[in-house]
Amino acid sequence: MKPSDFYDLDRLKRATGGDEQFMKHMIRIFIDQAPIQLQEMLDASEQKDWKALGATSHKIKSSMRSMGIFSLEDEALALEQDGKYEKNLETIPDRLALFQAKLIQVIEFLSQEL
Amino acid sequence: MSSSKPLKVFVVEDDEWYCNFLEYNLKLNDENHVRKFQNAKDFLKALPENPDVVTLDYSLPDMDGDEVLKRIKEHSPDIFVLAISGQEDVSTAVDLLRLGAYDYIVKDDDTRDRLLNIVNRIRDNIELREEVVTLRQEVEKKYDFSNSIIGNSPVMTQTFKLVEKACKSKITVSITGETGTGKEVVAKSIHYNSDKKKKPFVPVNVSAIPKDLIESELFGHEKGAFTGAANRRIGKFEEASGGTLFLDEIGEMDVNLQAKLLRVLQERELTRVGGNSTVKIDVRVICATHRNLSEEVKNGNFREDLYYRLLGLPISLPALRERGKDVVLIASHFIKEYCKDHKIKLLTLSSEAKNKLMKYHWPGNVRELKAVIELACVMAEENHITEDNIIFNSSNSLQDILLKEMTLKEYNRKIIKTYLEKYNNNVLEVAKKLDVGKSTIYRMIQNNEIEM
Repeated sequence: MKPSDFYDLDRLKRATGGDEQFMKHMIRIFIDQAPIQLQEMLDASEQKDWKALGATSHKIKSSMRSMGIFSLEDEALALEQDGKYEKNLETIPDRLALFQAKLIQVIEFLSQEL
Repeated sequence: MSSSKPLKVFVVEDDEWYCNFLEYNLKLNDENHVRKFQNAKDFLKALPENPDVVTLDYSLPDMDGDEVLKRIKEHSPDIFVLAISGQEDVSTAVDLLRLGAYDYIVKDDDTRDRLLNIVNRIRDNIELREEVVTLRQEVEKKYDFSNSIIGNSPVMTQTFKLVEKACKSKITVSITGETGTGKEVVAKSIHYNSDKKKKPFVPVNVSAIPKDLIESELFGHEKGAFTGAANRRIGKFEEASGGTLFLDEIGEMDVNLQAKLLRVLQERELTRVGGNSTVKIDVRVICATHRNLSEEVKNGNFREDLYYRLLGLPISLPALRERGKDVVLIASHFIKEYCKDHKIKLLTLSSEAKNKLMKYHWPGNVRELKAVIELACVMAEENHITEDNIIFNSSNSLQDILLKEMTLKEYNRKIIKTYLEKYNNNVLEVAKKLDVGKSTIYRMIQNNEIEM
């Protein structure tokens, strides 16, 4: 697996107007922020607080989109919608585990971009 | 972009990544002072600091976006709110627009450009808004009674009382007076001292607009209403919506148009030229004329029904020659104005100059006085306006001569002298022209009453 299987930083480049320093700044914030948000999602799922899961998925989705993390953004949206409308609840723990594994991989790759 | 005033921007966004993203972009311009808030509670606590712009994520953890927006608008309707939403939530952001948000931004690739464009637009908007406030204050100050209408003669005191009554009411006002007595100044003073002062004052000089155009000028026209009507255009009545329409020289209005104007004033609605639908109007009308309208009615030149409709509160402005010492008072005001505009030391007016001003008959009234004073200010030397600096250019020279109050003998001498100069000192011809005996003229020459 390589970074391009998970994300395309061209989108972030466009969003930051090609400012490399700004790109790195935003990558750093994502690396700091994403594990906290992931933990919040896991906690919400365990406590079956689906609204909270939806809300945190909503937040992480926005940053994933702007960062160009295409491998996770659709799933973040699906988790947001399922949490919000309390649908497909039985599938959520497995999907979250997969989401977690991919996100850890993404963070590792992103750390090497700095 | 202007470097005049920093823009205070509050970013309200619970997602830290996005919060930083917005902050970084906004700070690219040094003139943006940015503060971040991750929940509604902290933001509302800081709201009394009056930000110029708020970027508002509609999905905050502790309060709905529409509620936050409502609180902002309650605090100050002048704060520009930018609703920020995810791509799936555009409809919610659009709802915020309906509630008074200035614009919205979707979190996508274009966020940065859109954000910077909108904030720049807001900056221009704020500058324009401040400019409008300043200009409005200047205009209000200019048309404040103490600055615009000057005089304490008994006739003017009477006029002031009427003008004050006009300000307090919405009644139609008709102003009459000779040319140059300040009919438009009075109309503006009424407008800017009434509760309509924040709405437009639209003047129309009826006599200055060609007869064929006046209808469309007043009532507007639809596209294609006549050759050359390429677009729809609103007329002066609609332009003055909520404010005051000043119809100057109403006595010059064509009789056919008078009927249309009467209908508009009665129905409080108009139809644009070439249009079918009616448009409601809410306009105060002030009209003015130098003619005696009741005479015009008698002569059949002005419709009687329109005359009574427009008469409302009649204000008759006295001619300057009837205003006694006001002439000197107004002259001093114009001198002050001139010196201020030209940044020179205040000029003084000699008592001989004052007398000369007081004796003159002012056919052009205040307008003429202003011109005479400006010329006198230019001609004055050593900060002093003398009698010689007061130069009249009035076309009514007979009146000028009569106002010199000479004896009959002096007038005779002056007339004969003028005729002799005109007819190359030909005494016989002058005697014939003036129907006096030639010996009378010879005698005056002999006695040195007339120099040749």
